[in-house]
Amino acid sequence: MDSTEGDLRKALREADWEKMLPNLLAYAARRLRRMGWVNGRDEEPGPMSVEQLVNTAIEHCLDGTRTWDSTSVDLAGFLRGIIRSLASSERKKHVRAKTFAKDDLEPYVAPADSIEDEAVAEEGRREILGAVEECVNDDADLSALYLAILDGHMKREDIAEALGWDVDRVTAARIKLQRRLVRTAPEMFAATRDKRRRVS
Amino acid sequence: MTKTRRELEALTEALDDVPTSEEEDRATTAALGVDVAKMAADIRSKIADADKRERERRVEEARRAYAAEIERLERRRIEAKPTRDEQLAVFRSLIARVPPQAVAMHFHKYESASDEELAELIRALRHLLGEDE
Repeated sequence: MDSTEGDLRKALREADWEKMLPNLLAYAARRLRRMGWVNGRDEEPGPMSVEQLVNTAIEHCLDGTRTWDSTSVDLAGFLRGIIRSLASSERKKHVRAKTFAKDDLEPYVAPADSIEDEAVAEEGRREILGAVEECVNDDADLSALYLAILDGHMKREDIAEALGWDVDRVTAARIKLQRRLVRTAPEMFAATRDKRRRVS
Repeated sequence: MTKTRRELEALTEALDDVPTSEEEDRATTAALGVDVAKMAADIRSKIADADKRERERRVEEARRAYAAEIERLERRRIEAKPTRDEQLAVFRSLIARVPPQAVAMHFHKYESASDEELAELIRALRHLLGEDE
């Protein structure tokens, strides 16, 4: 175990898991659900549950497959990064499993959905975007933020530069947008679809 | 990639690192039905197991390194065969410490003994003196 691994193990050992886990679980739940938005379907991107996703991220830290630079990100941020990456892999695996009989087909090839499937997905995506638009219509900051995002500005600093705002204003607007989405259409935007769903 | 897909991907990424409050996180966790205390205990147990495996791996590594070092030293000892003069010097120093009455006759013919016989005589003298290896 080198010093980086040693640092990570020490941080994992000393972490206040009771405090950190709710944030990681909520992040994993949001991430999984939002991966479904892109497919226009309100479904999990893969068979891995929220709890499994967090546990797998921690196992990757323990088995040394992930290395942590403690000077650039704290432990929670590092774990969120692993969760994010795992959720993306799950989505790819899920799509591939639905598309090909053999799951060892490499490299990954984007699936060709049937015309009907794609039409349903497109309708779902329009519905989600329509709901977001409704949430931002009556607020100038939220509307501006939304348009900047649709223009491809995804990072806080990029959005700030595009809108001529400072980054704190962007953060405040993003928090407001996220909360408003959940409040206005929880069935579509809450991190969890149903109570007690997909817990391993 | 369709426009809607691209826009939703952008929205997903833009909202990815939005901070959430502890209250929001707790509400989500409660909705998920996860027993946080149990999960935390399970994680600590996994970390302890990993620590134990790591300790065992290090002990095993040290044990192997020690065994390899012993083997290396032993091999060097075997390979570093003393010269005849060195053997004779050792023999003389040993026989000088043994009481004359305890030394059998054949010990005195050491100069005509072969290298192997001389090594055997040295072992016998060491045994006599209680200096066996």
